[in-house]
Amino acid sequence: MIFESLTVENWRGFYGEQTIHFSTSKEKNTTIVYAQNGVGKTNLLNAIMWCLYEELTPSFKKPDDILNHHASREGRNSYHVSIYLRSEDNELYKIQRSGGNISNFRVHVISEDGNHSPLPGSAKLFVNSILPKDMAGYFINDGEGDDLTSDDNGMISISRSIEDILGFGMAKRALDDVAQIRKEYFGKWKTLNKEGDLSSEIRQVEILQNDLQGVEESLSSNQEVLVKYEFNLSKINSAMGNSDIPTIKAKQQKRASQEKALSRAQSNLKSLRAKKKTLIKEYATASFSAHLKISDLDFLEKENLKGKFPGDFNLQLVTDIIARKECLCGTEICEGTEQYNAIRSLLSSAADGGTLDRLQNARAKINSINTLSGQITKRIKENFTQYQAEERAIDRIKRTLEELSLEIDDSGFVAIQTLEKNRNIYRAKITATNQAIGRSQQKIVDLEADIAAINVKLKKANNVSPMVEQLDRKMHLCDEVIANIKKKLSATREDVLVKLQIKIDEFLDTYLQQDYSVKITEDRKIGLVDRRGNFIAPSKGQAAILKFIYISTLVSIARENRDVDTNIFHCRCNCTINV
Amino acid sequence: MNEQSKVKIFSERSVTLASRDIIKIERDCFYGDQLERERLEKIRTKLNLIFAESYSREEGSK
Repeated sequence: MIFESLTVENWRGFYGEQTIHFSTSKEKNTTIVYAQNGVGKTNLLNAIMWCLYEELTPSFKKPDDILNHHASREGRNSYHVSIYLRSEDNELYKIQRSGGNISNFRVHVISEDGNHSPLPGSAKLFVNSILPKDMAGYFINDGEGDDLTSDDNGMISISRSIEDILGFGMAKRALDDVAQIRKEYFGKWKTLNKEGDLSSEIRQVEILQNDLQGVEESLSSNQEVLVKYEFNLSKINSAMGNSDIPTIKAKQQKRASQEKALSRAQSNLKSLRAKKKTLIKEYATASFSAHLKISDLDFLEKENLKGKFPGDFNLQLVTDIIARKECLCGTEICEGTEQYNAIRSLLSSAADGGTLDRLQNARAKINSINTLSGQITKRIKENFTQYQAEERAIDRIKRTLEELSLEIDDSGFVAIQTLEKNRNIYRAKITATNQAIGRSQQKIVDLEADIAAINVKLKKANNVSPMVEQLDRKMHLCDEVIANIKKKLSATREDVLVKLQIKIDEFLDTYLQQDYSVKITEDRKIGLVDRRGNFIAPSKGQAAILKFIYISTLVSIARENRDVDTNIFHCRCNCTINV
Repeated sequence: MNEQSKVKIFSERSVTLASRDIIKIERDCFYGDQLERERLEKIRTKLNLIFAESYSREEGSK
């Protein structure tokens, strides 16, 4: 869909009808609106936002005062915005919204001869099919802060934008609603089962489900709050980093680099801790078997086995002899005879064909244990030394950061002191919120496991009435639908992360001169890395390019999926689902 | 009714289609002109339909 033109009539500073035509050429597809401050550039942006969604950007002042004052003095009392769009199949559409004493919203299809006919179906749905409201903030923003948050190091938080742009919101609402319907079925099921002996389990499930709902709500609100805290913190960091006071600017820049070093050292410490666990396991194996030697297996040598075990023989042959009741030499081997019993007794202690294989495996294992025990002490010592060094480095950096904070606080500039105080508050809040998120995530896993266990017990209940069985099936259907949506969302999220990295790297190859690529961190942030894989702090231009590329990539993925709300749901039988 | 038979009643296809249709209902109510308060009833109807289909399929296979 291409925006061809925008017409505003009596909209804020624009008196009468004014039209701006956008460039639609494939080669030159960018229109730049360039003007002095206060001329109305942001008003044009808001006109688009208002026409599409009846919303305005947060920094739009006096939202109740849209009618052009000159027009108002002339007795006009309504204002209008129209957007003309052309689809890929060359259909021309006009979206028009009117405000003031006339209030309406219409979409028309315009034929080649200029005739207007109302769009069949929902106008709101049509607009949202072009650019869903959730996505709008990423494209239509007045520079006062878009929906994409990035930190001081140019790392972009991507979790929310992925969900917004790929339309996960509708799937999440569906999950809530199906869970609500399941709760209703469960209520009826519970009433019918009142007389049964499952009442205590039913109560338990209810309590657990309520707990789960509470924890999920708290997780979701904490995640939202965290994004805001991080955004506010990055704004404070940015204000200090761009301060007019050179000492503050320098200290903030030093602090940013120290915080980066701290994050690196903490991540190293985490991997050293994980490595230490593995090494301790290996150490345990090595110390228990440190004195094992290859010669300890000598008692299993063929020569040493002579006389104790039967030598190599064909097990099948002996079995056949017993079955045929006749030895190769012609001796009769009848059940109960001395010969028969002697052979049976040998067979019971015989080594089978796998003995040698097992012997070889045991030798190889002892060899590897011996090799390991020679190295393990050295490796543990190395790990311990590195661990201590990292801990010391972390302490050192933390001290430096505390000193920097104190120096900034003692700077004597009131505005800076306020910023520093707020900064410390936000940092403390971020730490506490992160901890709360971790606890909630663990609690959800535990509660879901508990509920599943009791549900299995409930479903196994016998002698149920047909009505109970029906409700049981309906609840099962809800469970299946919920599991299906969650599975698809999770698969799509993982798939998108992989695609993002590949596609952004392709864009970077084209638009950035430097040999940079992108990396996605565990906490779902995306940043530029150099050839050696180290994160770099991008310049303002590079950060802006990264943001544009990131959003464009998400949109291109969304286009591939068309609409994740519905089209991630493809059946294995390849039936076409095209909403 | 054991777990095995339940899994067969709601095929992957019908669960997938139900998921898609329910999300479509959400979208129509959220972005479109359909009333938001009606969405739960619409979802219930959709679930009942799939539920009824599963019964008729079961009868057919007997």
